[in-house]
Amino acid sequence: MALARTLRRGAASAALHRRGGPEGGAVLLSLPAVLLLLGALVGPLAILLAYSVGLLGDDTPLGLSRYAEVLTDGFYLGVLGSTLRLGALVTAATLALGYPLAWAVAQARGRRRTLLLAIVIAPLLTNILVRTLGWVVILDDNGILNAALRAVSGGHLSQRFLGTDVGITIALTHVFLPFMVLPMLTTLERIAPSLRESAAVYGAHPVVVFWRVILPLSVPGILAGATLVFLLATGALLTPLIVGQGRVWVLPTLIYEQIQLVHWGRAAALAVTLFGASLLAILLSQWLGQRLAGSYARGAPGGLARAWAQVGGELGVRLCAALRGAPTFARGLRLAGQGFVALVLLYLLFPLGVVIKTAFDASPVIQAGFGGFTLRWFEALFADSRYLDALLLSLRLALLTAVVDLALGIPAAHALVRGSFPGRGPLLAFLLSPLLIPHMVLAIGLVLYFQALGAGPSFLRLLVVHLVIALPYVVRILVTAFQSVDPRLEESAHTLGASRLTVLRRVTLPLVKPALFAAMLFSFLVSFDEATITVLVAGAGNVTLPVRIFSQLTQQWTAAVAALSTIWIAWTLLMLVIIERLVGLSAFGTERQA
Amino acid sequence: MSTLTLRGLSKRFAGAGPAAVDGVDLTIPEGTLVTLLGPSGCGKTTLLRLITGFLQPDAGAILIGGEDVTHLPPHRRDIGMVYQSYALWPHMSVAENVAFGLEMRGVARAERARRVAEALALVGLAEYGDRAPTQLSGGQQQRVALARALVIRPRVLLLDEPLSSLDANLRKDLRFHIRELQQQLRVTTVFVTHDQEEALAVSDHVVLMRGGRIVQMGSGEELYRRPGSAFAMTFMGDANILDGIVSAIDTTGVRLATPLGELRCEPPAAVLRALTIQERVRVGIRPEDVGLAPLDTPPADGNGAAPDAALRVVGRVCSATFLGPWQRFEVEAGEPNTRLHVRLPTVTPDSAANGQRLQPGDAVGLRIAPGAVAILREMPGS
Repeated sequence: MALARTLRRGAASAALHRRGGPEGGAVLLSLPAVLLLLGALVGPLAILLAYSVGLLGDDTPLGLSRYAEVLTDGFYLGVLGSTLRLGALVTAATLALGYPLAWAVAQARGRRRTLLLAIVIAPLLTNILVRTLGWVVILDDNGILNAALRAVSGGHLSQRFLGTDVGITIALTHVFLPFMVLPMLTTLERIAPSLRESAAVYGAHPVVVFWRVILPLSVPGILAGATLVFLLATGALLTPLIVGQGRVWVLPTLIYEQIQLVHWGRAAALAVTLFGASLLAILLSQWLGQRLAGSYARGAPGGLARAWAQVGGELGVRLCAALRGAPTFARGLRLAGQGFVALVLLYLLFPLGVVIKTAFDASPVIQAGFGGFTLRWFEALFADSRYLDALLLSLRLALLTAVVDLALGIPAAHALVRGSFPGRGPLLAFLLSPLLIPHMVLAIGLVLYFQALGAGPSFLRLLVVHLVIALPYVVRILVTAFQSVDPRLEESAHTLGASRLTVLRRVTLPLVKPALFAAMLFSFLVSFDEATITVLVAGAGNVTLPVRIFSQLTQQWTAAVAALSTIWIAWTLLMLVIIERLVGLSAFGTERQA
Repeated sequence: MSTLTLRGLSKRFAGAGPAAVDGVDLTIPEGTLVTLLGPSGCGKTTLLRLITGFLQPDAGAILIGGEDVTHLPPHRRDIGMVYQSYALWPHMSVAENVAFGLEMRGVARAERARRVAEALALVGLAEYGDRAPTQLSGGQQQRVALARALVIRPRVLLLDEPLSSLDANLRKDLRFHIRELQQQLRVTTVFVTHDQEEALAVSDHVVLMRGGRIVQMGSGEELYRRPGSAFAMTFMGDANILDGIVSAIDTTGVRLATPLGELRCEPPAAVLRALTIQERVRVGIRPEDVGLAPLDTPPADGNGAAPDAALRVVGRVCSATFLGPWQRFEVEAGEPNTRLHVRLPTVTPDSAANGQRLQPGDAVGLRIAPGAVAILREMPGS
């Protein structure tokens, strides 16, 4: 939906600009970006398909036998079922926790708003492995949660969390909560206060205002957030792998195992199945969105939105009327709401705090208490040159990704916004498409692709991968930015004799400077954070920082990882301050939603 | 429909300097339309939010029909409200928007449908019930908002700058429509605006506000003709403001020494009583109240130019501007650098007025009658 809106706006501004010159040639400007995606996105997906039907590889007979296996075998069907169930559970949990939080952020002003946004965004900026590490420490048999359970029950109650669905759900809900909050925040902030106030003026009890006005108007944000979280949760590899400890099977962990076993055909078929499930989820959400929210926007009242308003029929109406005389409990509700939001914020921050505690805890094993203050994990970290090497590699990779993606993104986005060639809509959709593909699917596609090309592990290979996954963020930020530039500002420079390049350099780019910065920052962060694909593609010679943490977490526990994670958290706080100073956290919030 | 009474209403926002609403006393009799007029930040919107109940006053009380509603939540106050932004719910059809208030009052389905149809017919949108609000033009949306407000037969109707987001022509149509409906239904109405022409056009009474206080209230004509302060004078229309000193007082008026010369003024008795000799005051003269004619012809008031109390002074035209029905002149007269704006009707082909022939540099005679001169005294403390 957002995509369609972007395209329509693009079409409008292009129409304005049509007189402006030989814009048809602008399509060539997007060529480098298109070639990158053709080579490193379409190619791998095609190879993936080929492996899954036996066209390539020697472990699979030609035909659909692998799919038949996945879709009939009890074990695989069970894994598919538990993947979808996990996705649904995490989506429901993030919605329940995220909606009140998004509402609180939307209502807050000034410093309070900045603080709330910072707490929502901080986990997002902290690497997924750092956060998962926090959950391992909390959910461990000797961890904080079990210690608390024992304390409450007098030693009778303890519960396994690591290696269970419950544990993975708790951790994934934490990991993806910001992705639910941010799109909902955008929608909630668009609900004008006068829409709520007028409902109250006309006699609606606060409960009725929520049910009849706020909730129906939140639907687009809820759908966007739910779709995103469902996609991310069903496609997540690292958290289920680490928290699940090899005892819980979901599609991504199963695919990972099949890769380890070199069962390419089966891994490919499973990945395509996962991809298919994601696409189905997207289509379902689009359909729901049109039925629920789109009907009025298109000017044809009806559909589910109307049904919603009439839930309960005349009885519902009478109930609303009866509530009018009821007390509002405004104070109690506000206190309860604030308490709930405070708990959610604590849930967001707690794992980060636990990581920091672990880094300074003298105890060499995971425990709930504090075994005395020590710096020796930091000493161990700095003594091990592998961490420094990994950091330098990650920085080099992220910086190059940011610079190259910006160089690819600027001409492509400018051509998309100002050009008048046909097919701009599909082209934009194509450039944004890496956002819709689960990283796990892309990962195995790339592994098979590089294998087919005979390209061994190298820095260049890694760079190409990172360029592909960061490109959509750059393109989207820049398209939005160029659309906000009045074409007449560029036209007037043209009429004064400036060439296209001069106009871009002297007028357009200076006008979108904050967006250029934001685009670079995002691509840097996306690359610096990426772990799922990198873990599979990197190879022994190119260990990035997240991969380093991953191998420590899966192979051998050392609190040095907690020390590293603590430094990472400090770096996150620094980033937050920088972002707030330079572009404002609000901008961050609305841009990051995928 | 009931009398709305505001009693000593005050509201101060935390850390925001002076009070947004500062001791407002106001009674709006049943069935009348009162405009709250003032520049942005004068407290009129805060006052409205106090009446709706979205803000709680620090002091004072709000009574509707004699009932104290100060501590009643908004949804139990029985108020109709029309917003500048229309505030129509985009997920409901036009008819559903209008029906909402009736649903909250437990009105049965058949009765609801009848009253919604009636209200939509009242605003001339009978055919539009099934449309989505977003399909309608701005003026139509605002009429839906009006129907939504009137259908519940509110005790008080509040209109918060209802015309400010509409085109100029539409604005005039709709304000006429609003006034007509209000008179037909005799609903007690508060109309908030910053546009003095709008205020003059629709209201029974105008309440002029500034700095959270009521500066002056009365009929539109009273405020225009007898402004009590320079603020009221300039806010209600174009004005020349001069400094003056009271030089003589008699039973019916005063004489004022001004840069133009000695002006005679006959203020209301209350103002006259309060004046003292040698007091410094400000003097307001509306541009259209100044007589202006070329020096060789007698000024337009005619009648053989019998000597009267009017000031006659010679001046020189500095600029002349054509404004359609009016012509605007800047005239230098009296002491050096004293300039007066004067407005005359434009000469039509069959009229014999003299204005059009005046050019910059021409010498002219000015005439200012006692009735054209207002004495302006600032409010204490402002």
